[in-house]
Amino acid sequence: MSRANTFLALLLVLSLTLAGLVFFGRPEADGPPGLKDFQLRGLAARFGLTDLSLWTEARYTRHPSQSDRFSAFQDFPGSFDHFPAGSIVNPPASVPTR
Amino acid sequence: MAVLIKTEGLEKIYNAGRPDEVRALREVSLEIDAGEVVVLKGPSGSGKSTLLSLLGCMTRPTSGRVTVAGRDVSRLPERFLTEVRRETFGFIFQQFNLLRQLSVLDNVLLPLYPLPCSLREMHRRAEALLDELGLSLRQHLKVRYLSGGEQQRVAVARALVNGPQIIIADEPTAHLDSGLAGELMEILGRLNGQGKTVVIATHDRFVYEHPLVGRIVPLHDGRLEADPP
Amino acid sequence: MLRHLKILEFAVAATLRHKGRNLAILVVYSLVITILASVLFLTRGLKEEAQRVLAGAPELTVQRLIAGRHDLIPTSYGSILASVPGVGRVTPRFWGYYYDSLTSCNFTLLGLSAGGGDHLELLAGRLPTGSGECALGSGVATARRTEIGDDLVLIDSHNLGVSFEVTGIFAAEAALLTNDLLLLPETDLRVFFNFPEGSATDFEVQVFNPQEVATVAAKIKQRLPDTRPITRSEILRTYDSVFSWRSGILLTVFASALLAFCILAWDKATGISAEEKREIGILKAVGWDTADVLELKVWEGLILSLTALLLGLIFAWVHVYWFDSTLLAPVLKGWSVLFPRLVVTPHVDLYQLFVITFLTVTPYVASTVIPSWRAASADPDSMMRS
Repeated sequence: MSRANTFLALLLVLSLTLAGLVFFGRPEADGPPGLKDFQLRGLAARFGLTDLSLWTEARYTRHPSQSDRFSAFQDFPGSFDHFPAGSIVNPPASVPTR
Repeated sequence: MAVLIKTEGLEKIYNAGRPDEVRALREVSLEIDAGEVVVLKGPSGSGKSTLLSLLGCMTRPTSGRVTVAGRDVSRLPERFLTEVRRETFGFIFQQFNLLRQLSVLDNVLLPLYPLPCSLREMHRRAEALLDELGLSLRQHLKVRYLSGGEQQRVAVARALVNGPQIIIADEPTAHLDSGLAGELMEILGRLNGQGKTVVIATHDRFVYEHPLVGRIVPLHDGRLEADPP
Repeated sequence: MLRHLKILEFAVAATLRHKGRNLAILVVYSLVITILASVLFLTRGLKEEAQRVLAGAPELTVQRLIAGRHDLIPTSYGSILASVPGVGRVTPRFWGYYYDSLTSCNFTLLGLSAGGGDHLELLAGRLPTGSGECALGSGVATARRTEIGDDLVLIDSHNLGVSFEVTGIFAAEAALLTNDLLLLPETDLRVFFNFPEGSATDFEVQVFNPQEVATVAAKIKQRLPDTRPITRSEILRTYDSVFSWRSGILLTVFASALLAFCILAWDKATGISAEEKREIGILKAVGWDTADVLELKVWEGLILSLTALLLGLIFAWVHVYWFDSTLLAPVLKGWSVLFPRLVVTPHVDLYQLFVITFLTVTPYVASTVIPSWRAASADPDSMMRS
């Protein structure tokens, strides 16, 4: 039953590899788990930060939670949409869409 | 001799109700005893292959009955029909019906997969048969590289590997020369000597006039030409 | 059990007989799963990160709207806000955007109230304490090739160059929050942007009782109708939908890729050929049950799909959590010149794994089994005649 056993062994090895990755996480963990999040949360509180610093091309992509209804239309009619941020960032929850 | 296979009023219609409807068999009633060598003789289109398929539980009749070892198999569900086929019959097909991309050994192993024996046991049985039929040296060769006679022997080995009680052969000498045809009849003779029942469909004179043959059942246009004895 | 293992043996042998073709399918299949799983892991990771980190955001942010657009808010509103029951500390915030023509980057400039000098874990150096000092996010420092002690020159609203000494740089680990940030003393920022006297960007409002935030927000709206209070839960909900995998262009793109793959797989398996029908007929003729034949087809489908699934998940995990989604980052980055390293915390979502498995394995196995169903159920005689 060598080929069947080899295949099952392959599946087992791959499953164990995946399980190992899942349970042992990243290779270089910086300090105890949760410490980094605690420190970042502290920064957000210290400086009153409301948004992640991801897409910096426009106001509504940089601060999606703070943007008004018109931010996405920029300042003049011919301005471009921003891709892919514009298609990923929804209107903020504070702006009712219905 | 006990009756092993019995048919009563067998009918088989292909494509019933359609413009291309074919009545392959009409009212065929027949008995075959255990240990007999019976030849179904007739021209092309006489219904020989259809009758073999019905006797060998490869298909079900449109009407009528087939009994194998006292068991009515005409209306058996597919699962049970396959079981009967697996345990009782060994088929040698007209076109050999080997899997061309597989090796000789792999083709012979095919009937053993559903059986409760280990892979090692499967190989042992297959290799023993191939040795008996002179194919040991070619067992790892792909079937498409074999000659017609060698392919025929592979087909015979595959038909025998599950130890069947009944051998069914459909035009077994169609692709063989007289020498190889003679060898095949010798093999069938040996099997009959071991107590196996052999049913052959053919229009080859060499076969139906062979001394091995115990009885000839003539067929024409889907009917028996004479009543069975 | 023995029977199943034997059928698996036959299925593996059948797969190996077409090594080249099946290897190609495996590679493409694994790649599709890697991409799909990477997108799901990353968006999930960013969502979790946002939820955890932005839990430190202000309970309430109050901004002013004029003609529906965000405008500066009078600092006199602070006393009105402070008078609302349940409100604690009220702090005016001064911040804005700066376009740096030297690097084509947009920075976010934030004014620090007096005090400063803090030593923070994620900050190398210190915060600015006096005029002419600043602290930078790692993205800004990299873009301007600046280190602690260097001078950073920015062009103010009078079109004049203003020099700031860099006193601190945030660690790369903080990039998700601070990548484009420039912290200046508040007075410097107001002069830099030429803020009108008596106005701020918005207010940060502390609420004593978290259960009363919505009530306080409503009261603020009543007293100051031209303001828009934004609660922390609204901020979190915004990010919940930003990274929701149920929306977004990326999932649409990759769902299309997956659908295309399903169509290819179906095309491969559809209209089972006469040769395949014949093979199934032969297997049935030599004693294989319908169930045996179907099991064979299931194994043939599973061999490739399970292997591809596991390989895809492993590669996706390593790609997202070990290599910070280096392949996806350029796709997500878009027009942003500054973009942080996407360092996210590994998180296992069994529902997500189930969805990936269902979406990727089921169509392929189905497209292998279903076309063979009829042939497997038919008389072997009719299959061999076809």
